[in-house]
Amino acid sequence: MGVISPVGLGLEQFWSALLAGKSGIRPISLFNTEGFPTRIAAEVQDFDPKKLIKQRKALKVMARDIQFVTAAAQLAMEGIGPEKLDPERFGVSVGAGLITAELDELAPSLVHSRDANGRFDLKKFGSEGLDHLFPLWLLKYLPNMLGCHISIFHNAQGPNNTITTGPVASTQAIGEGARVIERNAADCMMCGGAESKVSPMNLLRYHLLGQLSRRNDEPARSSRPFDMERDGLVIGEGAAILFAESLEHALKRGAGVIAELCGYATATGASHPTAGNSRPDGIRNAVLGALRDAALEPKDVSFIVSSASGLPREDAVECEAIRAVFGDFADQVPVTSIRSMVGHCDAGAGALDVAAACLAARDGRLPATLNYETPDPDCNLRIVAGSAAEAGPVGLVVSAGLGSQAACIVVKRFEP
Amino acid sequence: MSDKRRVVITGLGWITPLGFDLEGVWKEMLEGRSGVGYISYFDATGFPTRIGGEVHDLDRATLPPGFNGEHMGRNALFAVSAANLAVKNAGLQTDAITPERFGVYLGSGEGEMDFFNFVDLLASAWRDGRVDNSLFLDRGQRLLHPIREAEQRPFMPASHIAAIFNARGPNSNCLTACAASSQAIGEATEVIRRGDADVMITGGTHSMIHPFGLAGFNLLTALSTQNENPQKASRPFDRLRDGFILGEGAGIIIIEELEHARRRGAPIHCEIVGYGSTGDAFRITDTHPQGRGAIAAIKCALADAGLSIDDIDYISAHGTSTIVNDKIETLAVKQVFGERAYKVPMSSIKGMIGHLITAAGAVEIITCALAIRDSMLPPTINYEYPDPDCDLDYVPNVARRHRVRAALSNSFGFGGQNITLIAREFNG
Repeated sequence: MGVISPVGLGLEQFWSALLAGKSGIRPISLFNTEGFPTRIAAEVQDFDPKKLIKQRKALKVMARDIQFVTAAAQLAMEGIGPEKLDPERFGVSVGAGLITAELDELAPSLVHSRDANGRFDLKKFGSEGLDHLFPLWLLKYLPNMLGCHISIFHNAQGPNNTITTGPVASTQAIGEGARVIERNAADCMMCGGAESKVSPMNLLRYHLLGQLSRRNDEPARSSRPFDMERDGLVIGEGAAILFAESLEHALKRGAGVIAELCGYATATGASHPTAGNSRPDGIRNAVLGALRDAALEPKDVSFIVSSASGLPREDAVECEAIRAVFGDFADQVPVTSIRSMVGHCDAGAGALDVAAACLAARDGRLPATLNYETPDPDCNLRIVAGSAAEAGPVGLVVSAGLGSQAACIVVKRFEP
Repeated sequence: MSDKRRVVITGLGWITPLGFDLEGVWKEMLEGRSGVGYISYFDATGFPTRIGGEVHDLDRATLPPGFNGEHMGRNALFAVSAANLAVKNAGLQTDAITPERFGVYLGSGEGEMDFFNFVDLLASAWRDGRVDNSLFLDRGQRLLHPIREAEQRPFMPASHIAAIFNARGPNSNCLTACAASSQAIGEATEVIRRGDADVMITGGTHSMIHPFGLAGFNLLTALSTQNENPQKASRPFDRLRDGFILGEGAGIIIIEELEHARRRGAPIHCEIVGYGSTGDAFRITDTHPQGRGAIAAIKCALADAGLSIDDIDYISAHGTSTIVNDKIETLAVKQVFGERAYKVPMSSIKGMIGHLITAAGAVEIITCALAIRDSMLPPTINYEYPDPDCDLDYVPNVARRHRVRAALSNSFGFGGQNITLIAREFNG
């Protein structure tokens, strides 16, 4: 596994930061947010693409999302050696977002397309504005380029998919990647996802939807999943790539197994996607489906990694759905949300959650939800607070999205 | 093979530059009509390319009753309309299906952006040679609309369709450029095969006929600039081809597990028997010069279908009308089919409707279904000057009567994602 996150670059840094309860949320440094109601985010710190990405020439055609996924794939593939893999049996399944163009790069083409009165002139844009964009501009922002670049760098010629379902995208990408292996269309897959939400356009979009926390004065305390005082999500950025393979393939090449992906399902509550009336049934059905797929009962689940992001209503809906499946047993299952530390990076979020769940299953330790202080009766689950808890071998990852889309993955500590 | 659940196509719906009526558009295709014209939605007269295959007069009557489409961009409207047509075509009583066994998997592109407001906003935030982000954020709060922005997310069409038809099963969207809707259909087929759903609404929708889409492809010099004669500009496999023409629209199909379709007495158009997905793993800007990924995708789909090259009677080409695609696709088909490549007719409907980008493959699988049904092949129009690199039978200019028992459809995405689907006539 390879991880690029606001709390650390690389798997073990990410993991030790989560266990230590370190927040990656700070005042936004990537652009000027003066005067805007929300001025905080979980930014990836000290990301030097030249250090992490060997193919330096390609960097100029890579949006930040693509640089993240490429770096994460590079870290994931360290020690695996793609030359030892059969390229046609090696695929890619990643979640990606709608990548927004960098404003400073785009603006000159618009500014130079103004008419004598200073108004934007489309005809002039078509004839003169284009000269201010570079030829491969479009390719820098196509969502499928995440999967294309990493397939090129690691010679993965097998099935290649890019899933763009926002908050559930990379969870679906990992689940569907496992399905590709199960149906024997590949032996191994780079699965995961990436997104950077830390851009003026994305900050603006979440603000317009009224979904952002405004705790600018205490960034580390701003993202408060399940907490009574939560006031919205904090945008983040990051990437995680899991190298998934059939057990047989892993054993044959003598690989160190981190965890087993043993259940996956996706469903939706089919509510109107922008009406804000998310329903618990999609999440509930995805949880039930993933457990069925893993041939497990709710009582077999030792911990839950939740997608609660600090949104007042959505966190409660997710808790309601989990309670609906687990009943009284929910009182015993520890639940955490790492979004309290890494913020919400949308199409990359599920992959970070699955990575954390795999590590929790491996090490038997579950990070606490940072900032969980005042219980909310509407989030009536056993939330891990304070410090990391002991975790059993079976983890359930819950990802919920707009329109009550949901995807769940079950991971298990590997027992040879 | 035999242990897999079988998947059949029971409903077809499309919104294309030639219209929306399934039989009407098909008839126009068989007559070799072009839906390409001068771009009318915005002033494209300054762009190197000023032509495209636009959808005109999108009749709101094709939207489901009670659905007003507020704040939705063109591509979401196309998708919802085409899905409504497909559901009707399938005779599907959506309330009679178990909602949890009914899913949606689309290959939709990004939604339509709020172009002029965005442009005004960005240009007005320009100060001293750079963007003043604080000004951008401040003005953006008043200029941009929350829902209009949210609607641009690529999964919105799939979410709307799920909400309208109460499809609560698996719900996803893939965006693999020009391969997306074929990939969506392949993946939706796998969802049914593995037993996670019985019915899926699948396909894709897209419009890149907008200023940034046109700008982006013009910058890549991927588009034809034969503006003088719009209907002649898209000329797949012809020696004078000089790029593709942007089209827009949606292709949506209903696919079902065979027994489910039988039980409800559904019209079965054909069966989806093969799906192959590969990556070129070569360059983001160029197709592999020997067609490595395309060859592998075709072979994977044949293997998945348990068919040989002798079983394929028709190839629906990706055939974009770019110099490189048409040459490499021809090469790839020859590589897989050997001598038989010259005997299997292969046509591209992109000469008539342009390239619908993520939606292209879904519209093409619908033409495959109709070709199987009617034993008629749609022509490759504007084929006038043979290219020595493209020497196969492209069904030039005139539709052809030809029995199709199995059709193979290619879709190759920018960046190297390749999809091949195989549809076979249904014979119990």
